Amino acid sequence: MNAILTHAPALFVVLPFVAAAIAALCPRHVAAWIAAITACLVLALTVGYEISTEGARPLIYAFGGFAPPAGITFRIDDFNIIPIILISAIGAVAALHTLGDGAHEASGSRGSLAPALLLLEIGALLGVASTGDAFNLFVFLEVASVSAYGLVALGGDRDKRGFKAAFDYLIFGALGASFYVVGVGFLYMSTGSLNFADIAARLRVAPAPQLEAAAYGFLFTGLALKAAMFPLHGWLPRAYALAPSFATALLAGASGAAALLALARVTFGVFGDAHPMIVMVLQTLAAPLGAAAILWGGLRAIYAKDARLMLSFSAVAEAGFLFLGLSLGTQAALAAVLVKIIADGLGKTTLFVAAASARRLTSSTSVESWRGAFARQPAAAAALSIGLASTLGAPLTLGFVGKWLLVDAAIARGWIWAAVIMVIGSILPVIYVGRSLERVLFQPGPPAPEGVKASPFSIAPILLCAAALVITGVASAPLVDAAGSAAAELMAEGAR
Amino acid sequence: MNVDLADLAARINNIAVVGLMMAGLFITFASGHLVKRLIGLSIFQTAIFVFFITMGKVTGGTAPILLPDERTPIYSNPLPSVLILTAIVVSVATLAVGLAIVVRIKEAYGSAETDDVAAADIALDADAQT
Repeated sequence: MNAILTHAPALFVVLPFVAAAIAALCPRHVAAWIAAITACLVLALTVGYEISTEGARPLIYAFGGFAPPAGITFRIDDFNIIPIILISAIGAVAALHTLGDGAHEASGSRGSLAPALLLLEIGALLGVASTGDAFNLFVFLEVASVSAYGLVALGGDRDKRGFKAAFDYLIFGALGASFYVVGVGFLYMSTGSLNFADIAARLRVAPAPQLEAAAYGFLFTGLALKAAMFPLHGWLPRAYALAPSFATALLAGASGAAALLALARVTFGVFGDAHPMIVMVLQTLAAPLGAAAILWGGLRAIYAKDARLMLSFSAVAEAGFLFLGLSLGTQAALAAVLVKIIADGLGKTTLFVAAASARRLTSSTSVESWRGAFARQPAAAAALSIGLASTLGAPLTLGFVGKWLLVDAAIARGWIWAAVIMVIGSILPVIYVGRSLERVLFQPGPPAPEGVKASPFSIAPILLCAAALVITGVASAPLVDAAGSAAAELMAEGAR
Repeated sequence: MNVDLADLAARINNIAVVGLMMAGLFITFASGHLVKRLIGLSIFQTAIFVFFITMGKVTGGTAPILLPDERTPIYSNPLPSVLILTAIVVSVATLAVGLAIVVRIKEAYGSAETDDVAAADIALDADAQT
């Protein structure tokens, strides 16, 4: 047991990769079971690791015993342990969904590839969140992206627009990774190191302003593409709307979060919040573009008729909140961003899985198909309603806590305009969330077709997610405190 | 503005890299055929490989091999080349997935021209709205 926990950082990445290779060779049902069991094991591993290393972090896991900076390391600290648990939880929900209502979405010869790709994506995203090596981060980003292209393209079997969405995603994703790797090249030129902690230390001793500026410009652009910052978000709405629901549940919940986390680590952990280039990029790029994303995503979500397209544009707006939060550059804002990432991740996963369950009963993807959902399937509709309420930022949900902390941080920083934009961005969802909630809760709808029932493999996990949203929303103090100390640790790492 | 020609000549690799990158980026977005867009992407990525490999070059340096008489020769930095070995694998994988998707697009839409696919998509979107 002890040995397992010692090597947990390696295991929670390697285990899904190995299981993916096995699952791809198995028949469909076996593959889905392998994915579900592995994803749950990974979740148990990350939670067990968090509990057993409480107070002992940051921990450096050196692969093959090669000490940093020469060897590749995973660095688990207070800042990334929360997102690591979040990603593995979302992965478990998505993998269980392939056993439940998502099962019919990937059929035939591709039935066993879907769980395999899902496992690859989970492992790679966990790698992105935990690695302490700049080039290793690129490799994990690309493993995650290549599996994501495959997952989105699976949606093309049902709707051929899915193929084009996957192609566009591939073009933007590959460009984003390429920009990132150019930035790593400049970092390597200026420091001769690839280890984040080592780069940070060397930049303090021997600054190279021009190379640093070039490096950060490329790193920021690349990771902003991956995290879908407006106006680089063009690939996102169609990819999320047309992919199979288990793929969207994982991508919408965890993949943007992982890219944004990497960006936060590079920005505040390596360069530091006082670096002139950081201040310039955050204030002149991230802040206005984040604000624009909040408004643009919110408006497009109002006009979307398709439920999944509406949720995707809502994800664009939420990425805007995160970028605007990052651009504040204060410790309180970083903590708020962390809370918002958790709220968005749990909320989006719940919504996409619940939407898929609702669609099985009505075989339509429009918001109108949610009519009478509560009468038809109360459990799924309850999860759907709580997810929608959290997207709206209704009190007693984690979505409210995240938005509240962000607005608070903006006011504390003196950016009243940012606070105003965030408040407007919280009012826009009233229209589309209100419309959806009315359909779900109050409007009468057709009864469920005979013999079709929502699967507990889909519903039970999202009920847990919805419960987590409410519990952390009501008793938010422990999570907010943890996010605060996590942000403090990251800021201290990059302090000059 | 003074342009130091000797300085420019010393950075000829960077100029070539930027030229290739821009050409690749232009092809990626301006080309009318999906396969050509992937080729543009490949050119863009190849430019980055050149950037990394030339970064590690030391003038007069050889491969980093320990000679039998334990002399240490002047050698180029092997690390960027090793990194690029990985990046090439990644880029080949991306290209393969991209080409596979183009094959499926061609099967589903009957064309791999950007405009045809976009027009078909717009028609499908209009259908989905009603």
